[in-house]
Amino acid sequence: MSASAAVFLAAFLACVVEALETVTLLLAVAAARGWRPALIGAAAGFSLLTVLVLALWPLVDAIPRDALHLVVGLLLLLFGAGWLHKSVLRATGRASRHDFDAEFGAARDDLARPGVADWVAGVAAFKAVLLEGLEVIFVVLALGGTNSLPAAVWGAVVACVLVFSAAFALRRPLSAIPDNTLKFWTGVMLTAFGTYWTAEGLGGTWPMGDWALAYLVAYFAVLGGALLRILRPRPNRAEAPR
Amino acid sequence: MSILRDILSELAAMFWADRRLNLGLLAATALAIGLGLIVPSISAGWLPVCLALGYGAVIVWALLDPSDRRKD
Repeated sequence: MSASAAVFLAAFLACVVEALETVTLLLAVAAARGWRPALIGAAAGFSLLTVLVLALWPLVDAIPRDALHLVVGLLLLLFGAGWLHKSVLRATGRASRHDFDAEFGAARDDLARPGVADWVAGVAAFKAVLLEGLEVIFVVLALGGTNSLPAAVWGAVVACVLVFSAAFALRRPLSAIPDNTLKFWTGVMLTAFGTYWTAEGLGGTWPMGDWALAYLVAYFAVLGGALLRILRPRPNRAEAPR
Repeated sequence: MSILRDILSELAAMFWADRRLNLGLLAATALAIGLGLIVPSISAGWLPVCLALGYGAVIVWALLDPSDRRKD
């Protein structure tokens, strides 16, 4: 797999995870208050995100290459390891899993209460797009900031278009998508990219050059898989029926 | 301004929720930077391998925290 394909895949997976969370809240706003506040809030969020990207990109260009690799590496590492950590906690029952249907119902009921104005629902949509979008921007700029920006942007765009069109066509949250598995693999890939670029930023040279990305992905996947096995609760034999 | 404050506090809360992991990763990077400054010859060859092993160790250490049973 070329570096660009790996960047595309990492950006795609990261954006699917974030888009699933965003679209759940937008659907709840639409179900409670109609499409107008949901779409106005979302459009305002996307506009602010666009302004942020246009403002941030010249800064990314101005940073010296080694420093950029270090900053990008650390950002990806913190995001990736955090996602890997959280997905293992959820898969092993040490943290509650995402339940998009429950989140959708709770947000819809909260916004449908009497006395809640339409603009409050619009602000909720705006914040959902802005907060999840900020994570997407960090990941896409970090993945693309090194040398594969088109691949990162295409990964993000394809993911957002797929998730948003599927959810808006079905008019309900996409609960059937295994978001924790996606989060695990996104975490593995971002942690691998983060480790790669942090070491490059510190002046290190990876054995086997770009192939380091492949063995880093394998390393963190095996590590995460081993942790899943170790931390998964075992049935208690003492309590088993005789 | 209140929206900005909400977003910043949510980002800070996200960082703090995984503080054992995040601070561990930052400490491992700071250690690598310090090591590279003290022993410049380590940078080129061994630094990436040490860094990958160090990050792996931090991820394991953070996940084996017995107090880490959250309901987020």
